[in-house]
Amino acid sequence: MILTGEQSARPIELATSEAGDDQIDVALTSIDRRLSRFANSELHQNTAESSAMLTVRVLLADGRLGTATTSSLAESDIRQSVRLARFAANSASSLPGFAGHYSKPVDVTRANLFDDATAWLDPSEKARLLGDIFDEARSKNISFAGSLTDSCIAIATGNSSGVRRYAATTQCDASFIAVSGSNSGHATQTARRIGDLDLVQLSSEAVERAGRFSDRPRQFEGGPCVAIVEPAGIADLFEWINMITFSGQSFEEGSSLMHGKLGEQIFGSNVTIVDDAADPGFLPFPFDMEGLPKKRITVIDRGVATTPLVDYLYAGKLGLEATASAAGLGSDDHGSGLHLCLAAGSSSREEMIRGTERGVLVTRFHYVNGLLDPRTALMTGMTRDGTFLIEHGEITGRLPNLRWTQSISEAFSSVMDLSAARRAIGSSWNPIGGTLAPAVRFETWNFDPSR
Amino acid sequence: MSHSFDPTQLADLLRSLSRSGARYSDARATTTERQLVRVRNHRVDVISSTVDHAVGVRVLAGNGWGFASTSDARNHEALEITAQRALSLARASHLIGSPISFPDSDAVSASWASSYLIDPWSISLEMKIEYLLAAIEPIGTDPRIHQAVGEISSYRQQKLFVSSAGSIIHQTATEMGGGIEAHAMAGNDYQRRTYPNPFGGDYQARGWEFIEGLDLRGNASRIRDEAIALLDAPKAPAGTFDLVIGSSQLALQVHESCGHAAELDRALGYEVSLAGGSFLDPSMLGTFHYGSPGVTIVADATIAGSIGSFGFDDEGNKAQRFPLVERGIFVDFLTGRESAARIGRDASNATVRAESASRLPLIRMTNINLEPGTASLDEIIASTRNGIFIDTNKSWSIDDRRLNFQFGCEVGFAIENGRLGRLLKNPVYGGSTPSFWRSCDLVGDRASWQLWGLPNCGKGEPLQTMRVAHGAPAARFLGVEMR
Repeated sequence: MILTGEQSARPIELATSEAGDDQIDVALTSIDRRLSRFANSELHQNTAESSAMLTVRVLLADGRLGTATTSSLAESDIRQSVRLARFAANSASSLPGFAGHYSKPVDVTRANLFDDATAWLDPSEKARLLGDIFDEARSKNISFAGSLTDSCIAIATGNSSGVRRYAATTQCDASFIAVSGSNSGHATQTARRIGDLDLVQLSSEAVERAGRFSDRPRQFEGGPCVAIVEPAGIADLFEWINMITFSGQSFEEGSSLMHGKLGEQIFGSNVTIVDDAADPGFLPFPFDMEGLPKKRITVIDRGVATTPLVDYLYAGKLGLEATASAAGLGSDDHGSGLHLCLAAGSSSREEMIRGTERGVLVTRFHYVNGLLDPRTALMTGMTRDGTFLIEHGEITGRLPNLRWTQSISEAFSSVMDLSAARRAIGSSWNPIGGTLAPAVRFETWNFDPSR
Repeated sequence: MSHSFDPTQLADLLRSLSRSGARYSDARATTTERQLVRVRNHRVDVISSTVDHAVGVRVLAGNGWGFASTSDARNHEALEITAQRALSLARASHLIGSPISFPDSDAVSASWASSYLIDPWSISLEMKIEYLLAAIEPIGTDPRIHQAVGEISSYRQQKLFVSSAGSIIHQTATEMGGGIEAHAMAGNDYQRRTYPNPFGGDYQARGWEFIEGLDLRGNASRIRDEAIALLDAPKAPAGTFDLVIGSSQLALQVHESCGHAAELDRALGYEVSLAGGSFLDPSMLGTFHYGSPGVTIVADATIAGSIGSFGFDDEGNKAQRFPLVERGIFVDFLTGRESAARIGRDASNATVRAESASRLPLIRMTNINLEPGTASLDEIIASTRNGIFIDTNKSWSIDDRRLNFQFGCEVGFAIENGRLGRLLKNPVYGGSTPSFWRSCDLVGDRASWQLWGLPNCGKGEPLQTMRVAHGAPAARFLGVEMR
């Protein structure tokens, strides 16, 4: 199980007590994750992982720093981590703009983020829930693949300047792929509480997508056309945008689309993107891994680039305001959006379809890669688990999976409308957050010519 | 250290599981140490070290599998709780399970370790930093160079495997990686050249002698000049060309279009929830024309010094070498004990591994190698009238059945009348896996063949990054679509 506040305090006190004339930051994450994977309507991987990881960062007065991480919370191993981090710091270069670590005595929001029903979900009950869903579909010759995860996460941070934080939360995530012959359909959602996930509804959504127009396969010649992308597809794009455009590291490297363009219009005026861990209706969490209180950060304001997401030390280095975006102490991205939200519009998916003369409806993407040309966020990928042709305002057929190559800068400059309804989509690398996305209709999306 | 684990303690846990009704169980204990030193623009950017302890227990009870792990690896009570959790998860899986065949295996007592001349941890941080700063020094002397980056990583994993069949296996892998990068910018263009490979460089199961042999500094000026030249180079043309692919990029092509496709769990649908399935299925064994007759691809977990090698997999089976594609014909999958049984075999070919004991072992690639042919790279280029030479991966994407792929590379050169010509930027090619490999008409010789370590192969939920490797020569492919 996860560490309590009291259990987390001891390693943090121990590590910070070693500061001497230096500054020390500590981040301690403990996770208890139960993940049930299924395929061919069999529960083939039923796993539980209980882990703790403590990272120590030592900062010398001149801004040299080093980090060390250990999964052992034994006193000797914590002291050894401090020694390793200090040893590394002594060999390092000074961080430009260094003015010390975060030290403001600000209280963070306290909220009840922990759900007992999620934490104590019985494995047998979970298996029966899934078994019922599999049985129901089996009678229609449909099988399921997917996963159901329920996790407890505790994060504690502290530093030698007296900052102390602790929060425990739960998170659960369900993903269903319904497979019917050569067709498949997908549905997914993440939530803080297992009771907020309607597994039957999600599985039905996947079944509906697998069966939709299965008797009307169509071919598509490719080329630019209107695309309506469902929330799961938008979340796929945001995983890459986060890395190659919003992260502090990409901004500093110059590879980010935002580099040199702060204050400029880089997307359409109907596109606003925030990193919002404060929204109680999404997946709230009170602080980042350097202990800064989380707040709503506007990254793109009506198309205008506002700020990259940076950790505290990189904010100083780049001369930017801190955005409380440390996903780890010394993590490579130097700032990352764990709670990215694309602002909703006023449309609905059905209205978007009705307003489309010719286009493609995309359930989600597969194997997106955003490294083709990061300065325009040129990406490629495939569609997956439900791609449909729209003609004269209605879906008229089912398409095979399509390859596309698209500048995301151009795509988000041609957004026609966004849905009012949004869905929280999880990610395996992000245990406390996700993406909150509407469906989006793009005026132009470049599908590769069919061959 | 995992070697400080008492095998009898883990064996006792497994015996208690057997008494509680488990059909089979195994336990692994790992200690994984990592150190990363990165320099950027003449300064130290990152120095970090990680030590991760874990114990994982896998149980088959009735017709259900369960797995549980803990990082509280030296706490006996935590180990007992972990074993019981695995059993309880297996029993839950059994509630909705269907018959599982899991062939017996012989008990093995063995030790295995990779070898090195100079222990990565015997080299001081100061020396690694000094080496890297000297390596990138030639890169940063032009205003168009925005970033000069170098890194050296060290890795060691000690592993103890114990099974209810009586196996006790100790293994230690010691590995190093290193590389440099030059990032150039002008206007809205951004170009990067790396050596010897992107994403941290190349990796081998060797010590400091591997880093010294890379000659990072000796290649710094070249990648600087190429990164700058790419800013003014024309975009590689779209159209159909004869494509000569260098060893480094072809290694990734093997990884994505053959290695993953030949994983039997994918082919049987057991990875659909994340990465997808495979266009290969068991009915194709021995008959399917995967590639041209010049294409032979082997899985070889026995190559000394490679990060895709090991002594025994995480089911206790001895590492093997076997062909996946023989003279163009698809002949085998990568299998585990349970999946092998599903296609009627009584033994696996030993490819089941996990990134550490905290995660469930899965079918993973080992060293998946395209065997060399007979043509030299010079001969391949000389015999190409109108083509393009490309190398060093920049982007990668392939569909959920491993058919429709698209790769971008850092660099391209036009081939005109048998000679390498002008530099080309942003080369991107795509195709469909079998058509592509069937179009391979010339496979480079041993001199162009190189083994590339890839420490970040992603698979499974939660995502595991596995250390694998691929050997490939240069090769020519006819009529490939450039985009």
